[in-house]
Amino acid sequence: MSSYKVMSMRRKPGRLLDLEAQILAVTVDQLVAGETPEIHGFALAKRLADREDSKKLTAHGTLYKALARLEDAGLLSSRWEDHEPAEEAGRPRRRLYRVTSAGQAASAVHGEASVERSSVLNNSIEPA
Amino acid sequence: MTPLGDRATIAWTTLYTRGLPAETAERRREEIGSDLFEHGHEAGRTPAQQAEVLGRVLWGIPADLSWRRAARAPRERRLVTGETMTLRKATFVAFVIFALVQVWGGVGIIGNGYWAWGLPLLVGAGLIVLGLRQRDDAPRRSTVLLVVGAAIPVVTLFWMAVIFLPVALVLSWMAYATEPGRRDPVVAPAT
Repeated sequence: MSSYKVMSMRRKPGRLLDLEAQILAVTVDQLVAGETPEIHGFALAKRLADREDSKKLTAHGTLYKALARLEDAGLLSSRWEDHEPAEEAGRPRRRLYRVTSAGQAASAVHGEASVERSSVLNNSIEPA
Repeated sequence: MTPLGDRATIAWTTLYTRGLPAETAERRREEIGSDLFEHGHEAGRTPAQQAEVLGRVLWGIPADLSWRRAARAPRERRLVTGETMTLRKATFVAFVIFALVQVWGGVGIIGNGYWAWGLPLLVGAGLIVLGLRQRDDAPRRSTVLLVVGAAIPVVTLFWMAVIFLPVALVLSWMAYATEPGRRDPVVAPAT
């Protein structure tokens, strides 16, 4: 399977896609680590690749569509950075994303559900 | 000169954001522009980096197209339904046509003096119009109205049921399948 992530179009209500869960996890980690709570798209793609120990970055369409959906669902918020820092650095403005409290809660719930699923799986394959 | 991968990305982004609301399109273009800059700045614009940019564009095309389709829909509809807008539009058009057929048939039959057969067809057309008007405000009631409106000719002109029954069944399925809010939000915040 390709290391580029392609989102499926259908999913169960309330369930996060893996990519969406990973995006939330990165933004939550950033918050917990006391770093700047905002992150831009390319930095996010890099973090996601690092988490998976992959050299491939998430496809543009996949990444920004997932970000748009998370924002629509109220799990992320975003803003354009101010003009000054961008002009000083001689680069385009960045769109900065930050996890919301609903996003933190959704990430926690997804994490718990994943742990539960793995423990059920482990129990079912453990020899009697 | 802008390298090939970046150029292709910009061209593709310009293409798939064409015709979208200006703010939405501009935001996506600026975001992709920023991403391209950061990527090139971080890795250097080498042939390998540009190949990676092209890969990111190509693999993202299905998501770009799906995002474009969603971006053209009102925000509320985007959140509460997962249906394709094409089916929704087709359903609307099919019901309008069926209502017009009922009006035409009803008026013609009444004109020949058969009120008992013509009037129900006009009522059926009225129910369809009512159902379409309430589609977003009262989705379930709207579906019921549409299904009943589509079924009236089957009962009234029962000797022509072989024609009207399949039509009513297809229309009923379309009304049900495109009912707003039938599918839950795709990503729901945890409670």
